[in-house]
Amino acid sequence: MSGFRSHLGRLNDKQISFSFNGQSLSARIGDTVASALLANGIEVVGRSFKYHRPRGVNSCGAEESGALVSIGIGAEQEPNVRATMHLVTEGMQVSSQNCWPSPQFDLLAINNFVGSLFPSSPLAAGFYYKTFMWPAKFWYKLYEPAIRRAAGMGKVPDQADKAAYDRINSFYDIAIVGGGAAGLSAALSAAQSGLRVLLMDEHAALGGQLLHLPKQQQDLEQWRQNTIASLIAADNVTILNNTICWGRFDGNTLAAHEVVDGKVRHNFHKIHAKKIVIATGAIERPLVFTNNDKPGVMLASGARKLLNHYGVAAGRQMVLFTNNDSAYQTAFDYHDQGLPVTAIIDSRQAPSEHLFEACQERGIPVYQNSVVTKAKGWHGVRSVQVAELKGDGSLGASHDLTCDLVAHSGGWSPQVQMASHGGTPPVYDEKITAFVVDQQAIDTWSVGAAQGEFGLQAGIKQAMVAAQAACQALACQGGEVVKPSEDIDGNINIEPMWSIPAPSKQKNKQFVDIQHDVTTADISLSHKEGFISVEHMKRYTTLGMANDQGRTANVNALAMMAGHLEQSIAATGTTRFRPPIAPVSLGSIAGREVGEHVRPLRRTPMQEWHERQGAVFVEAGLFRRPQYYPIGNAGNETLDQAYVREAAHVRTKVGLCDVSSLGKIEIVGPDSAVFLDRIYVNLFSSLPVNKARYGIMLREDGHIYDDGTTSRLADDRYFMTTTTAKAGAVLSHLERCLEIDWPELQVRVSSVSEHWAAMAVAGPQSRATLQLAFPEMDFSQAALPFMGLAHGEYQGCPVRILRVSFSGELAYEVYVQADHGEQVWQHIMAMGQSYDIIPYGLEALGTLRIEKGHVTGAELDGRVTLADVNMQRMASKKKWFVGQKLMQREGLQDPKRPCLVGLKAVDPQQPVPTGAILVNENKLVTGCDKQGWVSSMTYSPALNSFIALGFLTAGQERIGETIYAAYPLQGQHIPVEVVSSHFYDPDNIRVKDQ
Amino acid sequence: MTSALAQHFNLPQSYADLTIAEVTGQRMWQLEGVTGIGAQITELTGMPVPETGHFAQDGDQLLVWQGRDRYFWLTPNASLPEVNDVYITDQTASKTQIRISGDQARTLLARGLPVDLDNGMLAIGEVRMTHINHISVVLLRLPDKEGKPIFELWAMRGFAVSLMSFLTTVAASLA
Repeated sequence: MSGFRSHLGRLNDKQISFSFNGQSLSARIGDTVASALLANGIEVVGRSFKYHRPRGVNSCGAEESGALVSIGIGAEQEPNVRATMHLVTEGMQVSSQNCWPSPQFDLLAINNFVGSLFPSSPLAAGFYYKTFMWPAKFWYKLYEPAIRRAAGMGKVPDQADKAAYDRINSFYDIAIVGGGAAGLSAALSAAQSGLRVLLMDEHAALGGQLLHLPKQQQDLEQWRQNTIASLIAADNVTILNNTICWGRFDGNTLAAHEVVDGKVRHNFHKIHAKKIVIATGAIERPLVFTNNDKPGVMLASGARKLLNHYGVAAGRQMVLFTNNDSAYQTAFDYHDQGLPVTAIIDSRQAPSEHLFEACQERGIPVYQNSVVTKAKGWHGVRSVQVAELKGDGSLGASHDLTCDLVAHSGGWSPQVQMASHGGTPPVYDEKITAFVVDQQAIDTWSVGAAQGEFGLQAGIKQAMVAAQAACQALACQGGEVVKPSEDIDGNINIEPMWSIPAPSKQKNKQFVDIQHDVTTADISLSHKEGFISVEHMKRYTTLGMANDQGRTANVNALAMMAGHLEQSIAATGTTRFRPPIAPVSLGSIAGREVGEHVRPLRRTPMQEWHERQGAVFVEAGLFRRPQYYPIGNAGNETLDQAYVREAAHVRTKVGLCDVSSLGKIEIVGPDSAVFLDRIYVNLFSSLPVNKARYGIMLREDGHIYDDGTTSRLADDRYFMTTTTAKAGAVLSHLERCLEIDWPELQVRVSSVSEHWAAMAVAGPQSRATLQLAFPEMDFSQAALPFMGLAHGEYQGCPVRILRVSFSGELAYEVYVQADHGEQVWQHIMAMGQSYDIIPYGLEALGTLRIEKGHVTGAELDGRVTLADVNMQRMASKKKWFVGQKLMQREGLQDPKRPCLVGLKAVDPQQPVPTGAILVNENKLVTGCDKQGWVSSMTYSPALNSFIALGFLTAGQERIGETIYAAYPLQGQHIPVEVVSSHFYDPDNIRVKDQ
Repeated sequence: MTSALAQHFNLPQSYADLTIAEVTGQRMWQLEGVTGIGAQITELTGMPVPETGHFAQDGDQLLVWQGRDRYFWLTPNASLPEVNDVYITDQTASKTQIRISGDQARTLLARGLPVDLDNGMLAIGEVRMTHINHISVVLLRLPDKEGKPIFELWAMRGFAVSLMSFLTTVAASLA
């Protein structure tokens, strides 16, 4: 037991309850998990990442590296939460991490003792890489799982997260990051301009380090409260509390993560700001001494805020250890609250005179030129070893002092991450022994402690000037900010103390990065093993890579590295700062894009009908198209059974297939015919009105781009269909050609894909079915021959009917306004009853087209030419078209290029896998020549055999050969006969002449 | 005639300070030309041609800018006379119109639309072509009603159910 509630601080007295490791505890509204645990005397919160050492609360902010907890249980559990950043709510369940059976007694703490037995710790940096190398195959199955179990932080829930997260776009004139004195001042000044102002702060309460001060310091407290009240009252100011701004990106875009207490757990704000003021403050640095990670060792600023803001004493007897003036106030505040301060240990020759006098007035002993060399105790600090620091840096005589709280301060590090996200590295400032931003990014101002200005009034003035400049740049005028009468001296008189010499012959650890268990020995080892760049040192030791992102560790580590390299800290430099600077939930990045909203579903006008019929769907781009319609009482017909049945039915009777996903483009204008002649390889200017033609378009490089039928509606109007996959791309291609290549053409193109539902009616009975469905139309061979277009209507709604066939049967495509799609579909199904009509899906559609030898995206995969698919004769010689020149390249004219062939399994019941490699050899041997590949395969009910389409070197000359389809992944080597790709009705009699 | 949403949602849906409704009953005609067609459009519609990024309104009829020399005319007229140089294409079934109104309308739309919806940035009578949750939409700001903003989203018919599902899911968590 060490911490306790000493008074209310700034919280009210309303109590709430929560649990920690199943133990019921009380808290006050406004408590963080950290303050509540300390108020309840909880010393050990969890165990450390690698060594399983006891860890407790060691700060009061985002820099927390000790108290990581899991919040909630089951699917709601959120691991690795910094206890200092999360407010307690009624009924909250908090649990420790990385310990078993309890944080007090953890079996894996043996890691810590093992480390102490050897001269060089077996768990030091690089341990895993060096140790678990052999045998290599053990890594994934044995070593890595075992290491992951032993090390790490919290556990990720194994259930789906049910919480909701939002992504929010917002737009502001001026965004201010950080709600301390500087941020508040910038916001107040900007607010008076009338511009839209955003103020963000990662904590629940605004005020930054003003919250470290006693509430009784009335002038500053009143200034804080008045400023906040003014901002809340301003209509043009938005305040986001509990919101960490985690990244600054190009175009003045900020990313922020908001913790929300409501129906949504977290919000991800994407903020577009014209101007940005960075007022992210500074973080106190720790001093690096032996056992500086123990519960009870705490940053002085954290101990002060706990006492003054939350009313929680972090211990019952304090020793303060510092190398600068700023920490003294912590000792004074504790003393003035009646809490014993054993001594102040100051590594400098002497503190400022006024502080020394203040200590004397209070009777607090000051040990000058002295250091804490070691914290003693296991679960928490019980005493410290203090030694005199000699002139040569070695230690003199030592003695122990009793305490349960070591408040320490090694100076302050401005939070330069946001300012440096543009890529500008910060520079080292000797005066404050820390890095600051030298060159401000465009439209960005870094102010206050974030810019190394630690004085209160100076920081307020700097922020106000920045806000006024930002307003002026937006042609507005920022206002004045009345400063408080009190000030806080910004000169902390620091004398750097990067690491404390260890007591002799002792191997206890001095931690630099507490959260990742990185010690001074790790940094020495890194240097010794040649990782002399700070970027390499970071990655070798993992320093700065935990969820506190090295806030407390980086500067100390850089200074130590500089010492090893015998060069200045400025020359050593920093690692590059990259977002995110704080943990961001994956849920907030995903937002609502989970479950059915991972990507939108594009529905056809008949989708609901297919769903009601129990169709099995397959993804086709953003569509889910019916793959097949299983029949039977249990609906358990398999895919293979269903597609063969459906395909055979279409060959003998009639079937209906939803083809609404085809792209549909209207092309209008007096130059439409000229335009299409340039787009397609074949002629369209000669196409009569109310006729359709199959067309192929090429890319400029001579390869096939897409195919489809285009019909002529009028002299200056065409109706183009594209493949489903290329619908959007073809429209873009047409627009690009018109806007850039041929702006002189008087043509407009527009998508009508969504306006028209489309359905294919195929089979010998298709004409009879449609004649019944649309009795006023004439479907005779004479009136509507192959590739003809007819217009009709259904219940007043226009209908277009094209006589085209993808199946190889007498077939039609019916186009109707999408709002009537399902009605017309049902009407055709009803009329087709007399002819035993069935719906058929994508799989049967594939079977029918493979039997017929029609190509789709499986064949037109962007690598093939007209000649490759035996369509070179389609290319018109009367005109120029896109791709004409480059399709004549030597490489594309090579007669040995693989070209389209049919493949028939020698054993008719042997499937020929799509993707199989075609080879001449009867077994796969090293060096055998790849002759081609299988692009599509099906079982053909018309041929009672498995058949395939594929590309084979000089294929047209090899009809009749027997070759092999090799599929080594499944150990298959299948003999196939090379045949024509037109397996079924090669003379087109069934399509044309009925 | 069936709207894309009819089988999936009971509309309008109301939440605190927010209503989501589908607008039906109008024809949507695409009017375009290959050269300047302003005079012909006015002759055909009786409405002034809107500037880039704007729409004109006459009662329930809207004439919406959709690109160079391209407008969508929302009108009860079921058929249009031929006008020289104007190519008329029926797009009635291609888009689903979703109307979002109320004080929370901006809050809802901000959870998807990357558009500044502030009064000064998207004025009444302005139109944007943008996207929400990966779905392309046309966004219109209609005149306020009783001081509350009204926006309209036009989505491709095939995406209407996904869009409405997204909107109603988010709306339910705003209260």
